[in-house]
Amino acid sequence: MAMRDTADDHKAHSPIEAEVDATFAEWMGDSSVYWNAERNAWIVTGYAETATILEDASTFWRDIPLREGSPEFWGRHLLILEGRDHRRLHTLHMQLTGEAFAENIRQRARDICRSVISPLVKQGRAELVVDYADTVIFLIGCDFVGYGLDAAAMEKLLVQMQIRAKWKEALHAGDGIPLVSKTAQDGQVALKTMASILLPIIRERREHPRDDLISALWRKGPGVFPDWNENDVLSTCWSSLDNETKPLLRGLLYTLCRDQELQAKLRREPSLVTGFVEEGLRFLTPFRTMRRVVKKDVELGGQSMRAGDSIYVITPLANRDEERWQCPHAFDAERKQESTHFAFGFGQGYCVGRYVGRVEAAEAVRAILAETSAFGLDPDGERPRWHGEMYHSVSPVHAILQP
Amino acid sequence: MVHVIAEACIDCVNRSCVKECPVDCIYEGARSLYIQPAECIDCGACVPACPVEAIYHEEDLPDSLHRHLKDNEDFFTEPLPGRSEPLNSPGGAKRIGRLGVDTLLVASYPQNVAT
Repeated sequence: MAMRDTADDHKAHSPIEAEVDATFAEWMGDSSVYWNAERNAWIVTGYAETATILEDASTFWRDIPLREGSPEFWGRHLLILEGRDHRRLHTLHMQLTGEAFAENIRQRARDICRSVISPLVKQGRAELVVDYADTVIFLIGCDFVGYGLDAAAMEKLLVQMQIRAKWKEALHAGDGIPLVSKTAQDGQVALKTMASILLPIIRERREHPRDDLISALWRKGPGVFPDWNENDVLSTCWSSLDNETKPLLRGLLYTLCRDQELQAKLRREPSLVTGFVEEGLRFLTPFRTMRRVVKKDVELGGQSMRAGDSIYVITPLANRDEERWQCPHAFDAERKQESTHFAFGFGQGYCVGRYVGRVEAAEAVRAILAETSAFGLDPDGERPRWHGEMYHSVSPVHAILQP
Repeated sequence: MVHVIAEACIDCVNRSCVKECPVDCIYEGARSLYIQPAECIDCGACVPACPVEAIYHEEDLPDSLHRHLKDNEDFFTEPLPGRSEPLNSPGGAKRIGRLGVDTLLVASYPQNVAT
């Protein structure tokens, strides 16, 4: 696969193209499926092979349940279930947080984003990852889940979520980390602290339901698992507060900081924001190493895989298939997505937050465009850096915000 | 394993599931919709989209509706009325549009049975 198109392949290169391509160069191989001895795993970069892996859940499934610390981290969560249990919980998620739900939260998401970005604009400067991207995703999630917390509790929760996020990244990268490691120990303390804040709310909502996700989960959860309990509600709600929309939004904001021409265009034509988000999903693909384990011997991409083998599916490379997208290495906010991208996975593991995530990201972008006349990287700020194996994103993004 | 559209769809044909399907594998007959089993990726997105709960995973199909499993398949593997060849796997419902015919099982239901 060519690393990038020639300069003549499309009119204007986005300033981020080369640096984003460089972040997954290490995964390129001689073929679309190859063995990586260092990782002790198959690396899959082709579109067709990725589709096969994500569609054929009886042959390829997540390795998350096998990782040390997964049950402690996730609880009875979609990510560690499989088969019928997974399917039934997946359906419940889609019933509760599908397209209609996402549209219902759009206005609240917009209001929350504007309430966060407005004071930052007054300050004139902000670190957009911590101050904005991560914060708004967390606040929107707390809002629709039904965690009505005061500012102090919210702040405490946000700090603990960041500790949890470090464990999450380490748990899912490479071979994971042992439960006795400091990162995992700190993460477990953070989980307990958060549970002590959130479980009383979850218990209260069982007795006094409201129009929120917690109440809906109490109502519908027992239909999936007869022994549905408060820890299931807690586990199910984690992903509403910390998910791949955070790294996506970080990347989108950074892209706009770097590409003033695109930023100006989106201000003139806000209807383009939806397409900008979708291209961000395809191009940035923040969930970039999907891990699978082979469940039975199989041939894929000319290679013989054995039951038990590990697989890294490199989604940003699958999302650059030249037969699926024209000039796939170009970031084109006005691109018509000719094919399904794999930023949200596919098949039985198709992300249940895909509708909510799109709305959150779009409204966060619209809010910063509405509250500023321009924004760009702060030349005095720390240099942004791309990082993360599973959730890949850029930080910090120090920016100057012009009212 | 596949997803199956059963009798609650007959004479309803709400089509919310069609919009939800990421691979466009839900085909429209005259009185019902049908899932192409070879094209379905088993993501389950159609299940909660259906307002009349007509869609089941094969494993969850009640005994009383089990005949719809083969019937969904028959829509694609058997020649439909007025056609000499089976549909097989057209690779997307949009490109062929509404077919306007049903399997013998669906056609045998009294009108408005599920509405």
